[in-house]
Amino acid sequence: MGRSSIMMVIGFNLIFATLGYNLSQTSIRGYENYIDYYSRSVCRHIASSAANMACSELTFSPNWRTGYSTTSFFGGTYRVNAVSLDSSRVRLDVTAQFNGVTLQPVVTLGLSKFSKFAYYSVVEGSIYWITGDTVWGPFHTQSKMNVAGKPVFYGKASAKNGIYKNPSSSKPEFYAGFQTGVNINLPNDISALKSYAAGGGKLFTNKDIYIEFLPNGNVTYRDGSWGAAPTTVPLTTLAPNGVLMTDNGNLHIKGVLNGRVTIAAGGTTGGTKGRVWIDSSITYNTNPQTTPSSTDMMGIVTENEVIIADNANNTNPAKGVNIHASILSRSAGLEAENYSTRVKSGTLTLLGGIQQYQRGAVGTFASGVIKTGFLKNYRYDERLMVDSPPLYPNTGSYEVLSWYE
Amino acid sequence: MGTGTLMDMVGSFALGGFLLLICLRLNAQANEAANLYNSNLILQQSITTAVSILEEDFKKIGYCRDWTKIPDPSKSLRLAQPTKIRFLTDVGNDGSLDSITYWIGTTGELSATPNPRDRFLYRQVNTTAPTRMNLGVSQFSFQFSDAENDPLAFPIADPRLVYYMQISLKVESGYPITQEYMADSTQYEVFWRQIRLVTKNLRNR
Repeated sequence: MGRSSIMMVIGFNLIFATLGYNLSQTSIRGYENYIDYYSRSVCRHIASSAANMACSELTFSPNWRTGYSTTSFFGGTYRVNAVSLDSSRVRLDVTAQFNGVTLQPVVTLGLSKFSKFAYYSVVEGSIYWITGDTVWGPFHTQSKMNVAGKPVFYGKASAKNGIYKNPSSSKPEFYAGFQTGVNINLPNDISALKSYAAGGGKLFTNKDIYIEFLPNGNVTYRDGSWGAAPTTVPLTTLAPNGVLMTDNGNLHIKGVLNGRVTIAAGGTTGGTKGRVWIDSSITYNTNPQTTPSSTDMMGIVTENEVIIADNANNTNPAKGVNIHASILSRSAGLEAENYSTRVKSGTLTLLGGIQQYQRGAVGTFASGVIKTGFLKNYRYDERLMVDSPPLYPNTGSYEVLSWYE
Repeated sequence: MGTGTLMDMVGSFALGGFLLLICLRLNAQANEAANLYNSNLILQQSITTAVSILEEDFKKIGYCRDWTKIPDPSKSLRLAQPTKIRFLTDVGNDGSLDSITYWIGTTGELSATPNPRDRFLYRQVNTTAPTRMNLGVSQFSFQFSDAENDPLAFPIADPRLVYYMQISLKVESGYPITQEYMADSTQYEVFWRQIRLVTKNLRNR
């Protein structure tokens, strides 16, 4: 009886021990499953945090390439290498480790160009975006965005000082999101373009230059008036790097552009120089709306206004005026000469984008009916999301181009 | 063989019977516990597997190694339905643009399991044959919100309006455990447009 009892106790113990072991192993595997998931999640958060911190460094110090050596963080470690890919792009190689898990996200950033904006302004004043208004690309204002009704913004929209809805039931449609508090200042001057024009481009000084772009890639320019003696050369010969500028002068332009160019006019802020006059339509030889592979691209950069001249070319209501370009006016805006007294001039069609200090007037209306000047039809050139006219001013800050985890 | 012996035998039978019943009961409970633990483990593994697959794909919405192929990330979401989604991404990180579609099948497709609610979860890359996952998913649904975090009503005509999404996922065991189906569910919100870094001073595209 004694031996049998001991054998039975030992047997039961073995059975219980085996059962207990199996159950605890199952339980342990369950915990391991969650711990593994938890470890990967934490490691990803560490990697994202490190990448965010590095992006922030680049935001405040665009020349920052120091990176981070291996640093302890949240129970794990991270390391970041900042690598210049070229003059305008940086790659962040991040390595994060936690509890045996390693993740290596790669973030590529590029200097943001003003030309990506379909609409940019410093001052909005009392202008409201209303039902029926549509902005087809990225939007930014350094002021408050005033909204009434349901305007539509297809690109990412941002406003430094937030949004004001009047009435409060207004419901703007943001198809790519809206962000407040974003601060993007216009450049302090356009001297950088002057340097580019002087070194590798074409720089005129103290002259008003009259330029006609020709569909064959040539450009005819005159000094002082359209009646002056013309000089015709290939655009690539006149301005090999694509920057053509007159400093302390005005540019008058028209024609059909075959190629890529940024034209600029410098002068004293608020003065009568530093303007670009649109003397007739200026369009691309290959229209990107019908041929998206078009490489024709124009940038117009001015210290002061971009003005649509009140002349015979620009007052035919049947033709209107077409401008294919991205326009940046540092201290003024795009406007029509004699906008309140000129004849009804048809539709002003802009294919590109406009970045300006303040909106200019191109016509007058009464009860929604045009009285003088132009109707507006502004369309965004979607190529500007990834491309820009030659050496077009950048915002000085980086944007994320791609983020791989 | 007196009365005493008879009593001893009856007593030992009774004791032996009790011991046998205890053993059988022990065996049944051990089996039940093992089943419960195993089912729990399988359920846990199913949901972490499903979530890992989803996270791996969803965190790369709008990503392409050749970023110029997605010039406007807001157009990355191609289809936004209550139980179906399609988006652009770069599956192999090879610079070629791909699309991934996720949707949940019907309950009738998974009639092999007693659970009437579990379904296949489908994942399709480009136009290749969809991969169906039998992870016991009984719910896979989306709630989309716009840039102001207001919920968007279905049907969503233009997915570009979507700025946030909430994915609801529920996994159930295929077979009843202790008279009922076990369930594990999780709900998490994905800030899906991660290419737009949440650093307010960073100029996002």
